[in-house]
Amino acid sequence: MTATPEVTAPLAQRAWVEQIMGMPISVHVRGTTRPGEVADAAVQRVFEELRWVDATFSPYREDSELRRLQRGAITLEQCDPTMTQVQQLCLTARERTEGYFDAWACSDLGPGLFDPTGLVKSWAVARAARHLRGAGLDDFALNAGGDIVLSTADDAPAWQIGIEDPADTRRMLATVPIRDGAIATSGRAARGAHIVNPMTGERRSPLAAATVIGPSLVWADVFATAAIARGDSARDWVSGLSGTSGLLVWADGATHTWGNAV
Amino acid sequence: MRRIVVTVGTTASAVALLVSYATSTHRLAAMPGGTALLGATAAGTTSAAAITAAGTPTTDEATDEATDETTAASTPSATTGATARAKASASPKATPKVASTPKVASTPKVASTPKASASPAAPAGVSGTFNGATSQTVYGPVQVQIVVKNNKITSANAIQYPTGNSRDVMIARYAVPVLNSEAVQAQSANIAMVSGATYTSNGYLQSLQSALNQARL
Repeated sequence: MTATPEVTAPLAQRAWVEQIMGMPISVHVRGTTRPGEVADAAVQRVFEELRWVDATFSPYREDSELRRLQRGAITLEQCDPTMTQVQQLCLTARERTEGYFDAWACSDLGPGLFDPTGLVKSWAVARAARHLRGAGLDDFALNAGGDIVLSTADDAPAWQIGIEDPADTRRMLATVPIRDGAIATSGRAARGAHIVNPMTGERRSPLAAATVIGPSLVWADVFATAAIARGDSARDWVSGLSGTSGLLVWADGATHTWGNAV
Repeated sequence: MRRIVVTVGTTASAVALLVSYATSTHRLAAMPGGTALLGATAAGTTSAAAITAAGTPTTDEATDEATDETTAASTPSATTGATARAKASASPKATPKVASTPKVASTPKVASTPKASASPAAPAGVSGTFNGATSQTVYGPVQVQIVVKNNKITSANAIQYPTGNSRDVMIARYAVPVLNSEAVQAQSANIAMVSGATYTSNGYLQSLQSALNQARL
C-alpha cells in the first residue's frame, strides 16, 4: 500500500528536493515567513556543491577523479585537495572504529582499492550545509538519502525526525527530536551495497539497521556503518560513543536504544 | 615530559573536545572499553583528518575538529605524539574553532604496547590525574581533567563550564529515540524528516520523505 499520508504543512516552512548522487536530497527551511529568495539561492548552492562532489567522487562515473585515481591515471597530488582530505578522514575513521569502517576493504571493484563512497556522502552533505548557515539560515534540515544535518533557531521547536523501520520502509519505527546536530542511519543493504565485516568478510549482519545521532554527520555515519559491520558486538560498543544517542535494530525486530553523555 | 593538549571547538549547541596525551616515553594502550573522552587525529604537514561537525572546515586549510564522540578504543596510540591542530576562525553561524597549543614534538617510536586485553606483562605505565590547560572558547572557559591509570584514560571531566543561555550549554545531550506505537502518524508528531538506510532515487516517489516534502514544495 503506497497511499500518500496526508500532511498538513505549517505556514512558514518550505522544502526543496533534487536527485543527486543517486539519492533524493531534501532541504527544509523554516522561518517566520515562508522562506524566499535568500533561502532559495542558498539551497541552490547546496545542490550545486553536491553535484560537484558527485562528479569528483562518484565510483559510477568513469571520468570522476576518484575513478581516475583508482585506475592510476592520476596521482593523489593531482586530485582536488578534498580527495586528500577525504582520505585522511577515512584513515581516522578506520582507526576510531578499530577497522570496522574501512574504506579500503569494501569496494565492489576489489579488495584494497580506496573507495571512500561510504564517507563522501555524509562529508559532502555536512560541508554543503555551510551554504545555508552562510546565508544566515539557522533553522533548516538537510536530508541526503536518509542522513540529515539539522539546525534549529533559538525560539523554534526541535525538528522531529522519524527513523525508518528497516522491515517496512514505508513506516517509521521511532522518533527523535533534534535541535542541532546530525542523524545517520546505516542498513544491512544500503543502496544495493553490502556492508562487509572487514574482520570476517561476512556480508550479512545480524543488525538490520543502526541509527546514530550526534553533533557530526560524518561520525554519525561512520559509527552507524561500523555498528552494522560489527553486528551483535555493536550493542556494547555504542555505549562507549560519548555524546551520541541512537538505535540499533536487529533482523528479528529486537531493538536497543542508547543515550550517552559527553 | 607529558603534555596535555586540550582543544575545544564548539558547534552551535555541542562541544567538541579533543584531548591529546603525548609523552616522551609512553604511548597510551588501546582501551578495551569504557568511556574515553578522547579523539586524536594525526596531523599531517599539509592535510589532516578533518573531522567535520555540523559546521565544516573549508578545503583550503587543514583543520582538525574533533567531535565529542569516541569509540571505546579510540586513542592517540595509533601515532606517536598525536596532536590536534585547530585553527581559530570566526564566521557567522559557522563552527567556532579554538586555536590549540602548539604541536608537540614527535616522540620516538617505542615497542608496541600490547593491548590490555592481550597481555598482562607490559610494564606499569603512567597513572595520575592531569588537568588540561584552560581553553577560552566563545562560550567561556573550558578545562578538562583526565584520570589516567596505567596509560589508559579512565575518565575525563570538564572542570570548568561556560555559563550562558541554554544554547551555550557545553554538554549536548541528544534525545534517545522513542519507539513509535502503531498509532503514531507522521502529522501528529509533526515529523519533517525521515532517516533511513534505503534511500535511493528509485524508491523516492513511494517514500515517506516524498510525502513530507510534497506538502511544502
